[in-house]
Amino acid sequence: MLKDYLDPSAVSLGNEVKDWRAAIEATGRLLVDSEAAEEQYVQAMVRTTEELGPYVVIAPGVAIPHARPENGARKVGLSLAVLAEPVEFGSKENDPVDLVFGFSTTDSDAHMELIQDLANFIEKEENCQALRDAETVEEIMTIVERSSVNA
Amino acid sequence: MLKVFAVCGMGLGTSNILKSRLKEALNKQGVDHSLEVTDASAVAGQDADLIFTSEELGDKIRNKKAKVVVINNFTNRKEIGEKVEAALAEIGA
Repeated sequence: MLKDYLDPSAVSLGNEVKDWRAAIEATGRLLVDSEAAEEQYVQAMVRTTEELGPYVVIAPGVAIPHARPENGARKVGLSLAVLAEPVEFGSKENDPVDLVFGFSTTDSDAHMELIQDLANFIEKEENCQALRDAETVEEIMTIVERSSVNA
Repeated sequence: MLKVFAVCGMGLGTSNILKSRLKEALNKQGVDHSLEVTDASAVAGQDADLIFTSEELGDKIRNKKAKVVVINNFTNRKEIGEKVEAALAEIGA
């Protein structure tokens, strides 16, 4: 369940960032803070998005930046930065973005449950709206827990 | 058998979401298929019939044989289901 992967220390809201790079750094920092990844993973996330383009924006307003396991992932982890103001990632269909879920995985299979749970969560627009409306980390954790119960 | 690929930049995130959604949609259509996840450069040399990917990666895919289908919302079963149905009709599968 999604709640099993999201530690409160990996959640922040009201992030004021100037561009997509800073948005990825914000969510990457949370992966480091929650001990899911090493320092180098953050810039690897930014580099990967530079190289491959804004395909990490998978749904309207939602990005899931990540890097490769060998870029300093320590475990399967998830983070969420809710931005104060949305930023452009360069995605034709899904910009602008204000929900930035970072993730890390130790190999190409370890994160399968996480990624499916996350996709099912994001698919429900009411979940995304609830995250945007939340005012505290506790509220966000409750939204995620409730969605896991209903999944 | 129809050879289907889900393509994302690294083959880690987006394509795995897409894979599970595509599997549901293809099974619903009752199509005999194989389904693999790969990245944009590796798919060039694959014997593929259908390739599903994002708007941004669609232009980078070089595969002479396959039909490339662009998905906008990777989490949305409705969009993916409709596009699978349309693509199958177009290639006569």
